[in-house]
Amino acid sequence: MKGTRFLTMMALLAVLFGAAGLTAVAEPLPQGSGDGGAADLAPVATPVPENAPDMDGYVGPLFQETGDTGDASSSADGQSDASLDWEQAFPELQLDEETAPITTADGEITWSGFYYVFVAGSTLQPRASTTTWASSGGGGCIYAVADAGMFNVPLDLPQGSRIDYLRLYFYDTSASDSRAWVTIYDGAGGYVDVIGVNSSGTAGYGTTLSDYMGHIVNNSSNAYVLNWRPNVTGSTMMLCGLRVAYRLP
Amino acid sequence: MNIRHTCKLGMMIALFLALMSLSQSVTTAQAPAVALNGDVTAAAWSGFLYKFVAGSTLRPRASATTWASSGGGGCIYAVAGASEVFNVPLDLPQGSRIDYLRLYFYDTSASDSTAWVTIYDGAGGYVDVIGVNSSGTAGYGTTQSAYMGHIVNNSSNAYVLNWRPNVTGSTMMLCGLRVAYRLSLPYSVYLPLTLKNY
Repeated sequence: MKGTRFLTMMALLAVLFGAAGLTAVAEPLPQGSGDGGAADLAPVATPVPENAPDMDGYVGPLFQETGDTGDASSSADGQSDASLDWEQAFPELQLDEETAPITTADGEITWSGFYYVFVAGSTLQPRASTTTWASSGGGGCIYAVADAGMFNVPLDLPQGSRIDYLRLYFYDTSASDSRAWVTIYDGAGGYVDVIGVNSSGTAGYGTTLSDYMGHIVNNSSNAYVLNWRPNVTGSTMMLCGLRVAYRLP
Repeated sequence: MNIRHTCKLGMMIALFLALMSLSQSVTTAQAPAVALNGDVTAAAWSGFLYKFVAGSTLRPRASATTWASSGGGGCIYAVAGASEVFNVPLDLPQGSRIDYLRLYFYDTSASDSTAWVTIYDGAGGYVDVIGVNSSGTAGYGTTQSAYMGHIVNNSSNAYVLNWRPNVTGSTMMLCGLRVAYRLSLPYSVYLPLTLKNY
């Protein structure tokens, strides 16, 4: 009798376990908008179809890989700045483009090859609302329209990585030079500008590289920010990009 | 005796169902991209990973465009300057593959908005690599781009998510953008054992 009860309980447990497993599989994958709480517009569920191609487990026709098929009209801003070919302008390997890892004398790898965070100039925003701005260069470059104040954007790097270089991509036909740099903030008014670089010349598109820095990222103590100050208003001075070269330990 | 047999049978069925569900959950949640010839050991890409940004984190490319947010603060819309572009940096792992862009929107307008990914080279050159439009007038919705398969190169390109509302006002809002990407898997040893041809 006891054996029968035991088996009955085990069977019930096993059925429950099986049902739970099936429920977990049948549960919808991460869903759509989910930005409810608006008082003005009642959100409704807009689920992503479970069999959508961008979900794991998709069943449907396989894709055929193609090359880039951009919508050339989308980013265009109506301006026709001639772009520059970096490979022609700088055919030799630059200081921040060495792909080999750093090793000790006995061959032990201490730092990886370079990784990059590359942000488009037009993704920076002014630090003060008195600065107005516009974009150019296919929408990738930014310039100050009024009040040539500072622009910034958060810089997110892996803990313990090492910032080696900052590269500034600019358009500069002005007699002035702009400046870009990385600042760390401690959240209590303290800050350090850890690495910086200026634009140069008046030839239009160009790039300059900072000195070596070797700053070890500590996200526990510091907030990292990329900054740019145009020092002049107008489209003669534009920020087109900032690239941080860093290594992993 | 009959009860014992029934219980044993019940246990076996339940265990079978549990094992089936476990196996299914592994293959759906972790499934890597499989080679077209069906050889799973040759699969070179992870399952999908996502970069999902709320619409309200984008900002206009020009200050002439003014904006507001709604949808609990997650959605953004243009107050003035409908044709201007809103953008935000897109940070993806080096060598990963962008497969799809999904647009989450609120749309009760007769117009449609457009979202896309652009890469910039820092010298005025750019390519719009993947795009998708909102659709309909039913309110909240989502649309997915066609497959792209773009390999991320952070050394040469800055990646940006863009949205153009094409109309002002809260009848057209961006509520989110989700990029579905895969990581390169250099060694098949990372694959679950059940997916290998052992």
